This record gives sequence, structure tokens and C-alpha cells, in this order.
Amino acid sequence: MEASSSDSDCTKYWIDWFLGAQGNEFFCEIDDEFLSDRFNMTGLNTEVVYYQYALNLIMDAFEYDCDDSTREQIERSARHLYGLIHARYILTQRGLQKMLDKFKNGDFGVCPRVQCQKHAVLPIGLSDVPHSAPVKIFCMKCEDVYNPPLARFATIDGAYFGTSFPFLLFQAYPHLIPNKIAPDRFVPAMFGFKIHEHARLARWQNVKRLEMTKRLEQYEEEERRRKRIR
Amino acid sequence: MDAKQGTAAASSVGPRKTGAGSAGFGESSMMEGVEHHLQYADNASTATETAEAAAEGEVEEEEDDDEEEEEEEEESDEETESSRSEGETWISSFCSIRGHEYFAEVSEDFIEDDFNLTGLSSLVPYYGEALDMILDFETDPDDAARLPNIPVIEASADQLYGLIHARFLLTRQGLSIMAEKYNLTHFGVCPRYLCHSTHLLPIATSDLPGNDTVKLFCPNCADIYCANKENEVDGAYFGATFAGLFLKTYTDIPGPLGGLRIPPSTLKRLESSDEDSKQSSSDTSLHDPDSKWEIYQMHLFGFKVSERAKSGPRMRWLRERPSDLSELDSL
Repeated sequence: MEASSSDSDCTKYWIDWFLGAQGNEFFCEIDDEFLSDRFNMTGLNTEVVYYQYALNLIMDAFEYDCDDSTREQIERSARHLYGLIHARYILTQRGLQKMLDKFKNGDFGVCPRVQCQKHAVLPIGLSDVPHSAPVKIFCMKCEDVYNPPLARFATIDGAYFGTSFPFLLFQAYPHLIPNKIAPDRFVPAMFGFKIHEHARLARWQNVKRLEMTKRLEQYEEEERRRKRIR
Repeated sequence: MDAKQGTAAASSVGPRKTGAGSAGFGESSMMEGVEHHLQYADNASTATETAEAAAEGEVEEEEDDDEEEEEEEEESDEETESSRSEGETWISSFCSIRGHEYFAEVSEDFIEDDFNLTGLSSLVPYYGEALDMILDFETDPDDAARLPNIPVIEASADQLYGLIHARFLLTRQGLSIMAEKYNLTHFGVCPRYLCHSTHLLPIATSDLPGNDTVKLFCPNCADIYCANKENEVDGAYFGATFAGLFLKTYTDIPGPLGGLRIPPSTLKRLESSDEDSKQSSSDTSLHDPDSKWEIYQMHLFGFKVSERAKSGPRMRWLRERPSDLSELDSL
């Protein structure tokens, strides 16, 4: 009872409190509409203990009188449940829109790679199964996955964002795909001379890159031909 | 006035260091105080608190009842204010500043050799004064009067030390100090997830000061990453050559082709024996049982994103590695 009163002292809504907590900067707010639709929760009741109480807590309808340890357990369940619902929500149209705003805002940080020139990143999970790996960040400019720079994100489960989210976002908003005509890869040098091993690899990678460009042109050609036939 | 006091404070370090027993300079000019300082330094090293040490020093000074010593005491008070503990050289205090974790301590022998400093006098303002500061030589009080503020010389000393540091790193001694720092992960680990916390090395994109901040090089993915905000010092203080030379010196650190060190004949044998099991995953893995080269593959609901898609992969070349060294030779 005490805990609930202190909660309501801080903020009015549980979700607001949750989003304001340190380390939860990557999450967006889930609509009440989405939360109240039972269909969206399919299968989650087996994943989360005290599922009904946790859901009630998220929706600020928690009225169950219980001791502190149970209360704490429900609180933990609510955080877990919110994350799991979040993974589903950000794949919906409204969820994508909300995450897009955060992405444009730079809420997820920037790519640590020098040649990406501080391109904004997106949160990504390495698995859709909870408790398998913490959240990572994905940069669309170099198409690679990095560890978030701040240690506090190491405790956030990657399953709260899912493995598909960034790719769905870029499929939905293709104009956001960054220009990838980046300079060639960095080659370390000694006294101005490139190191053989690295330079050789860079040459090989450039050949691979050219091959890819040719393939892409070929696809375009095929596409054009198909349209003409039609 | 401010400048004069500051210089005096800096200059008083010399004899104290002598007292602490390390190789010392400037003894000739401060001979009067040496004996006393020997005691003083001993007290300081045993006392846990600097303040305590100062108090003890005061007691002794009262016994000595010497005006000159009292003056010294004042100076040492100033020194504690500027957070320099007893027996610490300028170099060690510079390297222990927050944000200077990447720096190695350059040996004084290296700095004292004029040959190693060739050409630096034209790059750094107040070169002589800055050099004196680095080596903890005390400045002539007459000179101190016509010198600019301490912060100006301090900045010059920082820059000079950085540039000497870049040269020192290329020596055998510098490389071995950096190897220790590398092993202790002083430069951090690669942020790329699939590099699995490979240790990084500081690298610069330019050897001239003022061009770019220091970057971090990952030997595994052979890419450069931004350093932490607080560690962002001038890249020229590390130099563009160091990382390469380091990897050429310590060849046990696997390079970008690290997984391919085994001779091609063994590679072929591995390929043929594992053909059935590896066929499906052959595009992402090297044919080396020890190190598997992985590239991140975009997946949407469990399906690979096709190259034909607008949002499809375009940067795989950046992380791709040849599955066989002979592929490199065929170019």
C-alpha cells in the first residue's frame, strides 16, 4: 500500500514513471488503445508471472492489496510485460511513427564508427526470445550492430525491441535510408605507407563492392525490362 | 603576481623529487633546502593525508626556525591546492589527469635527448619553458617575471608532451609500455558487437596537431571508432603510425585476416572434410575452426532482407572477408 502511494506521488501514470526512469530512454509510449486490445497480448500470459496484475499496473488500474514482496514481484513483471508489449507495438504503424520521431530526435545515440559521421542509430535485439541478450544499436549507414556506449543499457533486454524493428522501419520509410556512397574503408598506414595486409583486404573489398553495384544495376535493368513488357 | 607564485610553486617540485629518491635535477641551485626536504619527503610518503604531511612539516620547520624554510612551506601549501602530491613528476601527474588515460609516461631520458625533439621547437610556443615544465626544471625567478601566465605555458607543455609522446610511442620502450596498456584494456574495447570486445588501439588520421581528435582502431574489423568525449585529445599526440607499428611488432594479435593464417593446404583439407555440414553457412564463416568470421545479416521476421530491396544490404563489403587467402592473390 505504501509503495503504491509513493508511486502516485511521483507521477500520475505508471507508463510516465517507467519512461522517465534511467535506462529506459529507448522505449516509447504505448497507446492505451493498443494496451486494451486483448488480441495484442496473445501468448504473453504464459511469459509473465502475475500477468493480470502486471497489466493492471501498467494501465493504472491496480487495486490488489498485497505485501511488499508480492508488490515488488508484480512491479518487475509489469516492467517485463511492458517491454514485451513494446516489441509488438513498435511494429505497428503508430509505433513505427513514434520510434521514427525518437530516431529523428537522436534519442538512440549515434554510430561510433568514424566514417558514419555520427549517423543516428536504432535499438535492436539479437533475439526475439526474452532473456537472451541485452539491447544493441544498429546503424543503417554501415549496416552493423554495436554495443550501446552507456553501461545502463546492458540491463535492457533486446527482446523488448525485437530483431525486425529497424528493417521494418526502413521498409516503411525508405526515404530515411542514408546515402551509402561512403568513402572506401579506412586503411592504417605507417609513415604514410599503407600496411600491405590491410591494403590488400581493402582492394578485395572494393572488388566485392563493385560486384555488388553491378548486380544492383542488373536488377534495375531487369525491372525496367519487365515494366516494358507489361 | 599570480604568475610569479605559480612558477615558484612549479619550481619547488625539483628538489622535493630529489628527496623522494628518484633521479633528480636542479639540485645545485637549491642545495640549502635539500637535507631538510629529504626528511620532509619521508614524512610525506608515510603520511596518508597530504594535509597531515603538511602539518608535520610545519612542526619540523618550527624546530629549524629558518625563514627560508617557512617560505618553502607556503609554496608547498600552494602545491597541494593544485593537487600535485609529493614526489610526483609533471609527467606522471599529466598522465593521471581524467581523460588522459590513453597516454603512456614518456621516460625522461627520451625527452632529454635533443635529437628526439628535432623540429618541435617550431611547432610549440614557449618551447623552452614548456620543456622545463615537463622535466620539472625550475625556472629562474628573473625569467619568471617576464613570462606569460602559467596556463599559457601549461598549454604549451601539454602540446609539447603530446608531440614527444607520439614519437616516443614508436620506440621499443614506448611500444612495450603501450602493449601493457593494451593488455589492460586502457583504450577500451571495440563497440562492434561481432568483434566480441577486441581491444582497441589509439590512432590518428593526421600526424599534424590541430587536425583531428584521436580515434580508436580495432585490429579485428580494421575500422576506426570515435573515442569517449572525455578522452578526445589531439590525434597528433598518438600519431597515425603507432597502431600499425604496434601490430607489426606484436604479431600475435590477430589482424583483419587473422583467421586465415593457416596455410592454404590445410584450408583445403578442412573444406573438403566439412563440406556437408558447412555448406549452408559457408558464406559467413571462414574455414578456420578457431576464429569464425561473422557479418551481421539483416533479418525481417526471420527472413533475410534481399539485396533487391531498397532497404536491402549495401555495406556487406565493408565487413566481408575472403574465405581463402588465394582470393586476395587473384586480384
